[in-house]
Amino acid sequence: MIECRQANNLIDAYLNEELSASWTAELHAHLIACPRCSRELALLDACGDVIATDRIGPVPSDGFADRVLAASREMLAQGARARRRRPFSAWAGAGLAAAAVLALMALPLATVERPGTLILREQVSIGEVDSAELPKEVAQKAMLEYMVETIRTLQPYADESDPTPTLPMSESGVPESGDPDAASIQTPVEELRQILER
Amino acid sequence: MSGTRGQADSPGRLSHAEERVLIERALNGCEEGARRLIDAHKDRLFAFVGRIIRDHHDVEEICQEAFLRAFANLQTFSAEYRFSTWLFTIGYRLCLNHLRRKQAVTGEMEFSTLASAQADGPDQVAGSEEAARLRAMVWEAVDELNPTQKATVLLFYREGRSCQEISEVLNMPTATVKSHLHRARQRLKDKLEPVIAEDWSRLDLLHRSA
Repeated sequence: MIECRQANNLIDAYLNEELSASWTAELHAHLIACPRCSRELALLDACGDVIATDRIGPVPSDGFADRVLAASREMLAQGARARRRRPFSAWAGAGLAAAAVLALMALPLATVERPGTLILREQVSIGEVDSAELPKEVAQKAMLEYMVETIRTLQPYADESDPTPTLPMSESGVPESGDPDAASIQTPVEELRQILER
Repeated sequence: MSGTRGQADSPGRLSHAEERVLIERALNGCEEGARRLIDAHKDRLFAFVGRIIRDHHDVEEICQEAFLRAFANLQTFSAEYRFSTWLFTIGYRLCLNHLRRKQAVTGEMEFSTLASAQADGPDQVAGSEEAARLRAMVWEAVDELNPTQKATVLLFYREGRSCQEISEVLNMPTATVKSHLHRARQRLKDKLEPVIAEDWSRLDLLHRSA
């Protein structure tokens, strides 16, 4: 028969309803013989009962659903108004990508004018680098990374604190989509990366 | 299996099929579909959010925001999941954001402001004063848990979710969920055991009044 220490290790799995039948039988046999473990399990069961059944805490006030629906309508209306005001907003991402490509075309003009900082001729700093001597490939890579990062920060919903999960998580914790075509949809960043890599 | 747990498919809760129909209607602009989704989930969401953050006004605000975000992003929702899983995920994240903001303003987390007035309310007193006292102690112990442990315990016992389902809501590995559950139970045991140990028959009070 198992001992108290082993029984304690099994109690969580038992309460989680994940203990196999054979281990459950072992645990039951121990509980019959051990009042202490039996009481501990009874205590946890009782606590679980209270948490499951007590109906305390705030309840929605009258008209809660009406208020949610009204706010939802207002949000939709605001979205529609914003779309009307900014008819070209859908092209913003494409424009940004095009601007980045143009910037890349100007890359051969990039020089290292002082140690540690890569400077474009127009005197736009694109970030600190470690070496005073920058081969062209390194400079290109630095420029690419900088542009990708800049565009990434301009994307909507990039805020980590945004509580809306864009998609529910799969078992592996990887976001999944019900839309089979979703995988082929490119973000401006991915699009730019591909253009630049070509 | 001993003990009581909420059931995800208990009477009064929407079946998965009903939920899909309502979501489809809501997506097509049917307000009645959206209203039924709200009505079917609002009490549970309030209980969940209300236990993690304690201010009633904030609870209402967070729950409203959770529904709004859920509806605004409904087109990205995958029908293989329960709507409540998604809604609770949003609610949980909003709670964390709220607590973080509060921490930034006040410098402290308000984890354990047990509203004893609520715990001692008329609904709470069931059986006897002693039972009510023990039950209040259980909730005190729950309120002393950190927000993640609290969410884990509520989803497990109140919502009847499995560890796997909880891991989806809280976006963490199942093993971490089990660890949170273990620690939460340990704390409940540590809190209640010294009281009950004087007279184990009082444990029946908790069971009977539950």
